[in-house]
Amino acid sequence: MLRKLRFVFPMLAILAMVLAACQPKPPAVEPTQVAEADVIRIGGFGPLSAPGAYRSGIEMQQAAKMAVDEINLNGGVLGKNVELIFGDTEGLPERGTAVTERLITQNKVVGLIGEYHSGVALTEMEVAHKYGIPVVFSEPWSDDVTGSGYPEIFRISPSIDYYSSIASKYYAATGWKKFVFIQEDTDYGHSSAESITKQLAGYGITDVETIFADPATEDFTPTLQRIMQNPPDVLVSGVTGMGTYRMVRQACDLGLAPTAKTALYAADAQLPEYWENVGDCGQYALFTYVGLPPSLYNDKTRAFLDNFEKLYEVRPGAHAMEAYDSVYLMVEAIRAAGSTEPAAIIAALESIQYDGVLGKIWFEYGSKNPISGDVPKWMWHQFPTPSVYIMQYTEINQPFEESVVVFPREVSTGPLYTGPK
Amino acid sequence: MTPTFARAPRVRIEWLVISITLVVAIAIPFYLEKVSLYWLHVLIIAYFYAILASSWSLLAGVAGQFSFGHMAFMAIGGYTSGLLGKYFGLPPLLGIPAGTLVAGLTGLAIGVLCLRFKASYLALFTIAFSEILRILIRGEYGITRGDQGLHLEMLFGATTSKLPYYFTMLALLVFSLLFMYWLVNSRVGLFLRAIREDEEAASARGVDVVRYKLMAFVITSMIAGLAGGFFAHYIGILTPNTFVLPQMGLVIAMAIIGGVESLVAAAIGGIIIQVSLEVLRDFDAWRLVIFGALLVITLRFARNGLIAPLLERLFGLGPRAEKRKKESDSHGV
Repeated sequence: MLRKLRFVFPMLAILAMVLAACQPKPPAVEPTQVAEADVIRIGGFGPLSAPGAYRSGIEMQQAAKMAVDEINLNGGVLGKNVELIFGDTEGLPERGTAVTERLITQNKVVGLIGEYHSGVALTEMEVAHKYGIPVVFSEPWSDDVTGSGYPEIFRISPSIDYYSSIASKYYAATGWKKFVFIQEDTDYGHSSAESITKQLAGYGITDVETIFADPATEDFTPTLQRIMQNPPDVLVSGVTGMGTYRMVRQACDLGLAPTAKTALYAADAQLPEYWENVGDCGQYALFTYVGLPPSLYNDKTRAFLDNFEKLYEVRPGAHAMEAYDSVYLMVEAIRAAGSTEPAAIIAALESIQYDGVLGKIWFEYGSKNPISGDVPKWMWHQFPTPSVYIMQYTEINQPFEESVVVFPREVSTGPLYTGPK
Repeated sequence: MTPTFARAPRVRIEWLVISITLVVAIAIPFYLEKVSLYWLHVLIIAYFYAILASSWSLLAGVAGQFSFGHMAFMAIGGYTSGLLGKYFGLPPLLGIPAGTLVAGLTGLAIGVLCLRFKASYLALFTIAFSEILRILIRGEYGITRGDQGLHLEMLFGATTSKLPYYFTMLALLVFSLLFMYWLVNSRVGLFLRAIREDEEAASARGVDVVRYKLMAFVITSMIAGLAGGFFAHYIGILTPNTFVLPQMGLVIAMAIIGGVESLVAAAIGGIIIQVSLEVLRDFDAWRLVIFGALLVITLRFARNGLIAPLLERLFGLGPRAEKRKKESDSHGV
């Protein structure tokens, strides 16, 4: 009997797999039930499961779905409803290729939006380029994404070079000369240190020391004590998460920073857990925020955040705003083109001016205004002013919403730097 | 005479099934290239995982050595070839063998360190090794490009056709299976099975336990490195996410669900699971729950996997069938 069961179970399991594989597929994000001929399909991609950053990917998917639902409620585009088909890329390049192939060849999407991981975006754009399908990348930062110069590729998130340039421009504006960076020993830490050191040198700032540390480091005291022997103008904590909070606390307890002599920059200070971990030491900390700071919210931003919170009971990150705007950009381009032909959509995207939750979005360089001279290659089809801001907490326990935008100066809400007396 | 007559139709069925499978495997890409490049891509990736699952089953199922480093060796093959191409201009056809060699040498170094000890040390050591390698590749951004991905030259240059990649991956799968099948059925295979069953008894009967374990470890590392090299030059980009531990878990699940003691069953497990993961993609994270449940059911009720018992039943292949045959032969005497 047992021997028979051993044979029966594998058979049942395989039968179950085959049946599971053959049954009708449920839609990924419950698109509106409409006849196939009446819909315009837009593909989305991003990580929805490990090893990708799936929390961010899921928020991007939810925001994109929200945009599509709103568009359909307002009559769709070109007299048709929009359907979003969102694929899980798992943060893996080969899955990115598969998902993009599938969206284009099986689902017949007319445009693509999304992605979080640069490494995956770089494979997805190759597939999109092969088929000539336009893509608005929402979040990948690699310079190579738009640096490829492919006619189909557009991006509204910052490139790494742009992200670093905001901080280096800010440092140059402050007049600080001596810098110590404590960077996390990861890809992010190394790449941003490399980029910013190069950019600071361009401003004539060469007194820059970079120390790499494990983000899980508990005790930064020995490193900080060594730095105290010759304090810099600014101590930059480029360690993310709890590591930066420990460093802020220990630098403050030692009397190293923030002081009248040494300013303090702390990565991830925008997160809600910042104040409960650093206490009074958190005052005067500078940080970079990728996304729209509350002081720059427009009506669309506020409506988006409120609706998102109502629907999904969570306050979304900047990547969700970018995914939401990406869908609207694609749909507006289809509307402007009056067609779902890829070439017409690409031409419309090149000349689009769209007011979204991130503010006004446009693409400065393209086929009508080619890149020339000193303009970096990644500016091709790149939103020139993505949301990257230097901010500062000027009060103890200051809510993030009330923190001061210190740079770029044209949108600042306070002085360039406020330090302890 | 009876056994001869009884075996003749079985042999014919085996060859018939193998021939039909090969004909389908050769014909299907021409059809898919016209109707769905997406499914052609899925099949290429499925063959890649089939190579990894079958070579892991040689190590774990035949030699009894449980390693978590298989995906790391795959990555070594890919990154070595990619870095040699990027910094020394080495073409993929030279980079892939170099990557295979480096994977083998790394396997040798790890094997020399660990294989004298019990199997659990190898498992622990290879977990640590995989993580160290991943952190190193992420951290050495300037050399490896970290999470942004290392670009690699495509194996077949600018061609957009997937057919050359399909046939190369299929050939890699067939030849690696044939090689491992030959190995398992040679004296080496006999020694490896003896080591798996009882190391001390095998040693007492004169088997050089460490040498044969090391041989199995190096060979499977090289096969993983070879597959990784080709995979990297097919995708065109490598990131550390490719060999995180959950991906290693996927390869183990493929081998276990297929049948860890059978190379062919593990390979079929790899293909079925990879294809099913794509078919079930619309279920999002639920497809992973389905496979988790399937793995639990397999471990509890079908310890030699789901495919291996079918192969046994159809072709009389596998260790249990051999055991039953010996029993029936001895009863006949």
